[in-house]
Amino acid sequence: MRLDTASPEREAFAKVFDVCVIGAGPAGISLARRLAANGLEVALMEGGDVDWTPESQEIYAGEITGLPYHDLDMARLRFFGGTSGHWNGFSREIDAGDFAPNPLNGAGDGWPIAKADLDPYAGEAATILDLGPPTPARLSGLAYPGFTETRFRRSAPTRFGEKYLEEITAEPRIALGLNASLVDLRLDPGLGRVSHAVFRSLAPDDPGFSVAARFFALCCGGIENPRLLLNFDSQMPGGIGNANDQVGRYWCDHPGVHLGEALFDGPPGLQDDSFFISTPEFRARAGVLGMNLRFHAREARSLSFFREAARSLECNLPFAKALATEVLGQKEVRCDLGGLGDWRRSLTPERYPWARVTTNSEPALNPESRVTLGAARDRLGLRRARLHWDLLPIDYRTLRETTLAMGRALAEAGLGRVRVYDWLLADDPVLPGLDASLGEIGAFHHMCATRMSADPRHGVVDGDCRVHGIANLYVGGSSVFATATCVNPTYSIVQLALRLGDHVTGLARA
Amino acid sequence: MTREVPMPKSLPGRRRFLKALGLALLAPLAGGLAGGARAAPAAAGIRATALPSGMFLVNGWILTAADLEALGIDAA
Repeated sequence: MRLDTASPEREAFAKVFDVCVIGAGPAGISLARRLAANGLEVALMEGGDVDWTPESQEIYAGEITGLPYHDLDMARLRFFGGTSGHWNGFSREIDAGDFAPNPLNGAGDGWPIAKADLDPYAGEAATILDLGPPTPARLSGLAYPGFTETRFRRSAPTRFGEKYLEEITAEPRIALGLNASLVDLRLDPGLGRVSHAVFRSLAPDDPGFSVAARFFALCCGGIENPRLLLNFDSQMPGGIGNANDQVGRYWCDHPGVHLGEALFDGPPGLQDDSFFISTPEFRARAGVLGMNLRFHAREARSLSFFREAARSLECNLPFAKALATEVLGQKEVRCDLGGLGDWRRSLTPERYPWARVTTNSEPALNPESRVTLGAARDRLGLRRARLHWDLLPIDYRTLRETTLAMGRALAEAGLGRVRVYDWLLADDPVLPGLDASLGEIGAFHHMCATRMSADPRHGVVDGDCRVHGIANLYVGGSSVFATATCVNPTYSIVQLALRLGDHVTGLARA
Repeated sequence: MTREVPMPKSLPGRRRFLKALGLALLAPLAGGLAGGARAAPAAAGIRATALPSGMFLVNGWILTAADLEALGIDAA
């Protein structure tokens, strides 16, 4: 059942549901479907509409401090289907070893669950995400000390809005409420349970409406989950679930910048698009965290002779700096990219098998890397997100040492050579900004800001994704990840949502 | 510090690879790929930095001892 809550159709929510799922992205949709399949009555509330609108998206605008990051109203999507619209389709399960405590990543407590807890949901998650079989090991005959070839399961990728709107509209156990922005969670007098959620449309004079349910699940994304909990402070100072000042802390993304480039002399296929992951043995030996390393074939593109000549001039002749800066239209010309060498190779790409070296690396948990509230308010009256992202020395060490080791492995195998960019070799490296043209600074993997821990002093939710101290409030999505790992998160997000669905179903039937 | 390094078997292949590698290394001089705000080194003056792994770093490139020898670069 699909309802526009900006209209009188909102009256359909004037009853008590088994579960109110807030947010219709990969986590919320997967959870709602699971609950309905288990026979529960579900209110699935989405702040946006079925399509993107600027009015809804603007709610996501916020402040950025610390490392430069993508604008917050660009880094996620606020309409039915959520940020699956940004997904590139790469999927892997989190490795079993990633759940264990690891002093290097700051998670001395590890995850309160194990891979075996998610394994039962791997098959259905793969179906939901339309995952193909693992990519074949194309290079298995070659030895890479310290690395194994990363085998992803690829999706088209699935856009949840497109795939599931019709099914959910036809599902009698799900009431899909569109244009329903969550503006408060109200607690019972004992402050131990959520009694109802308050929603509004974006109309300025909307008085709003309430949805009552036995259980509530917040599935609004890795920045919005903590922002909303922090905003709901009228009954609990500091926000719901924040008694230990944990909500919003440890926020992280996978650094996605270019680390360098490679010149190949290996077998066909290596330079096409290859992925390698560091082994646990290498990580322990080198004292680094996990890292996926990608050789991303350069796109076939035409380069402007004049533009690249100007870049080369600027990078080599000081007196030409002003001219080159004017020609290229940039304040700071990036000398690690382009130039006449690139222009020459672009004429005969088959003779120069080059690739960019990019990454997904595991950032350590940093308590000062966090989502807080800014002073500005959105049109619903809620304070906007303020994101402070920073990396720790161990993160830069992981990027550098792993890249150097991969370069050595490639050279010793006689397959090519790797060049590491200057920024990563600096004594005190800092992740390049967006204006450096070194790829995406982050991967839009918003994780850990309502992290999972058995100890409420170290996390916001427990191993069942339940908010510590609130008996019937759960959180879905990668904000509950206890650590970031170096694995793309979507597969695990869906596995966790399915597991949460079964957990809540068990409680609802008890 | 010499290491046994597999190199392309065929002579033309080896020549082509070394040429491409040499071009990349010398790119700052030619205004090429590497560019760099760093001072452009003279070809004969390029210095290699030894890494703990036994490899060498030249203009960011991770090279073997055999690479240095083939390219005529002195190890630091």
